[in-house]
Amino acid sequence: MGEQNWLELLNSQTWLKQVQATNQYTEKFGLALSEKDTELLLAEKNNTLKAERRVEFGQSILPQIIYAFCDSSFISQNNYVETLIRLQEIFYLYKNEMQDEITDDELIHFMKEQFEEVCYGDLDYLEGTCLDIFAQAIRAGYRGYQKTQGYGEFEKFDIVQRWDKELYLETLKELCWR
Amino acid sequence: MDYQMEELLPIVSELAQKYAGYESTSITYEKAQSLMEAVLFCLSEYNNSYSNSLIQRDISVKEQYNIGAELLSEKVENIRNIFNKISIQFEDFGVKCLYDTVQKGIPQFLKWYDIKFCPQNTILTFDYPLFIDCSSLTGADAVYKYIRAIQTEQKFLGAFDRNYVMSILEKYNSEYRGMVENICGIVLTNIIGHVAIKKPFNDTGFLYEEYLQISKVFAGKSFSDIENIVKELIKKMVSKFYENDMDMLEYLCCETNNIAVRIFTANQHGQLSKVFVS
Repeated sequence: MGEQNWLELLNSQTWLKQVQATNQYTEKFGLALSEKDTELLLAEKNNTLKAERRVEFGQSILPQIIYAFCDSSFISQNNYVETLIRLQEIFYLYKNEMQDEITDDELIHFMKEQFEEVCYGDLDYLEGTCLDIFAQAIRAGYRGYQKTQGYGEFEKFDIVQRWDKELYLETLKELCWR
Repeated sequence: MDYQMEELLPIVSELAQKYAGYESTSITYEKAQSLMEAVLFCLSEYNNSYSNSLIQRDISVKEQYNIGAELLSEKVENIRNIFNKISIQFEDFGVKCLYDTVQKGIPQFLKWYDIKFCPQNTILTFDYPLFIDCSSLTGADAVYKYIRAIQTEQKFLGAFDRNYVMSILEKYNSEYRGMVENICGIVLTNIIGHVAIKKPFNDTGFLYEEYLQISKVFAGKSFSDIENIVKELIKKMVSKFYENDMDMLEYLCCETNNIAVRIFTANQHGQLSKVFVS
């Protein structure tokens, strides 16, 4: 076996152990990863890292994503693996898009908050709108997230009016008079 | 220098974590490559600084890296010391390129040089040309070699009266202040003319008879003969006026080839007045 393969194998084994260990915590949310799932996640992680031209060293980001998202109302065992694969992709994409200005924790906090409160589990909206707008702000020099750790940031940049009082009253009137 | 990947990866990995402030688990390919170059740069510093017999073979690659980084740090300190020393009496003779490269460039290098994460970055472009080529080196190695050469040039030029040097430059090119050319070479060439016919340096300007005398010295000589004569004249001058400074002799002799070409061609066409100007 070549030296490089030996290294890769060692890293992979450590990674698989780290990810499988998350099952102990996620069980209470009804989420678990089988051996096959973790192998699939590993393969996807390697593909994403290659595609985004990034290198991971030491600890992996996936356990952090799992611990942050496992209590989400929009993740169940049925979509668990697919969601993790997409979250991993989105995470690395936006590490690049934000030019590594943001830390892992800050990005995960931001992603989780929007996933729950703005996107309602819609990963395309998270990727294409919330993170895109936030990345533009960061590239333009915005650093306010350093104080907030990535929490409560999106409302500063949100271009959509989330609460329209007039529309609410109009709809209410229609419903009451029907 | 032959290292295995598994010996280097832990060092690069640790460096990457420090670079990311332990707040990011991944970095870009470009950054990883740059950090690998940083590690190799420090290791080569270690290998180059010890002669083969002195290399401590039993120490780990990590220790070699640490020693290399320490040596690099000392080199930067030496650059700072040399710069401080030459700055006291630095003379650019009005040549903007020399002033900008040394007086503006070196402080910027000292300000921005990153020993830990990017020691291979030279930062400077060395616009002012020297007799020696620093392009094969990078980082502090290149800057150290460059500033030592500048120090030698300053010592060489400092022995002459400022007005004398400026008159040579003025006669060489009336717009010499804006030219990007080594002034030491221009002055040295002129000095060769003085030494060749034993004409005192304070006796400026060559007469027709003196050009004939110089022409006789080099007449009928092959190019390599002229090169040897120039080398001998430089040796004589360094031994007499610079206490046989071997570093200076070595540095000035790098220009003998160019000077010999100029003399050989000018002598063939009776144009020595273009080479020996003052």
